[in-house]
Amino acid sequence: MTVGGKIKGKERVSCMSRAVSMAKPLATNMIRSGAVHTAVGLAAAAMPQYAPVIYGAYTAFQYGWTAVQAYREYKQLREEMSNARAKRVESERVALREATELTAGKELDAELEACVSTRVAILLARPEVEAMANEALRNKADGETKQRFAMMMQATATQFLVGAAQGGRGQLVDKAAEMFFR
Amino acid sequence: MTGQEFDRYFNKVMPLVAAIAMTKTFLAEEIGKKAITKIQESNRRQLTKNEKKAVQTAADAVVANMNSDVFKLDPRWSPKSPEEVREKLVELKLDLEVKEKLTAEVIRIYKEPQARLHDYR
Repeated sequence: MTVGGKIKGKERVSCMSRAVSMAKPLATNMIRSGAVHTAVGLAAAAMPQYAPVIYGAYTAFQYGWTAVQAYREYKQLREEMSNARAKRVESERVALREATELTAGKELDAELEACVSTRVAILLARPEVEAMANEALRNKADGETKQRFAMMMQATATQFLVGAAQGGRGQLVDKAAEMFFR
Repeated sequence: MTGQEFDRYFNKVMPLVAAIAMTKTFLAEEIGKKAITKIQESNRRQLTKNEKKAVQTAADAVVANMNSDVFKLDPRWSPKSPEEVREKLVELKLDLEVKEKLTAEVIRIYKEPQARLHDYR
């Protein structure tokens, strides 16, 4: 039965069944393309109605970072991350030598977070990044959504980068940490 | 961490960050609307434009600071059936229960005195 163009009763498509049917073709894709696509696929499947835009963001940013990386801010971010890691290793060495617990940990984490957060903010303020965001949203979203996306990018990028530099929580971050701390 | 390692990590993680940020953007909007509806129901009146803005700001803050571990994934995982995908979706925790919890947290933050500064403007 349809009411106002919407299917009602037993035939109604639930949010979860939509998500699963959406995820079905993704599943085949995931097997082929590995972890990163898996993550993007699942994020899209969790919010099926926005899947095309989520994919759009992934694709737009996948091909755009090379251009952004030419800039000073990117290099400085790289340097901050290396410095933070060097400081951490040094403080761990000191702690081991003195056979005491690493007490400077919290302070260092806050300092690292502030440095990374600042660098990420500067990097994300680049016009190239805004162009990528516009491409992802395809000018469908209003100013408020664009602003919200910028804020979420800032918070999430800082979480991931700080997490990776600290050794990380979560397997995705752990994988990145393996690359850093081997 | 060498520069090369950073480049590899950055190139891998930033598109993923963009996708997750986009997911969070829409999630914040959804949670904000839910919280507004609940507050209006409990107050038995419509919220003003400024009040709605304050609720949405609280929702943005809650979702932005949401632990990225909800996207915790095993990179070796590959689903064999839709059922496995369904299970994983539940593990992703973006299910109804978590959305409810996020909404409750937004309402709690909104009710904090400093979140109601707009009342005095």
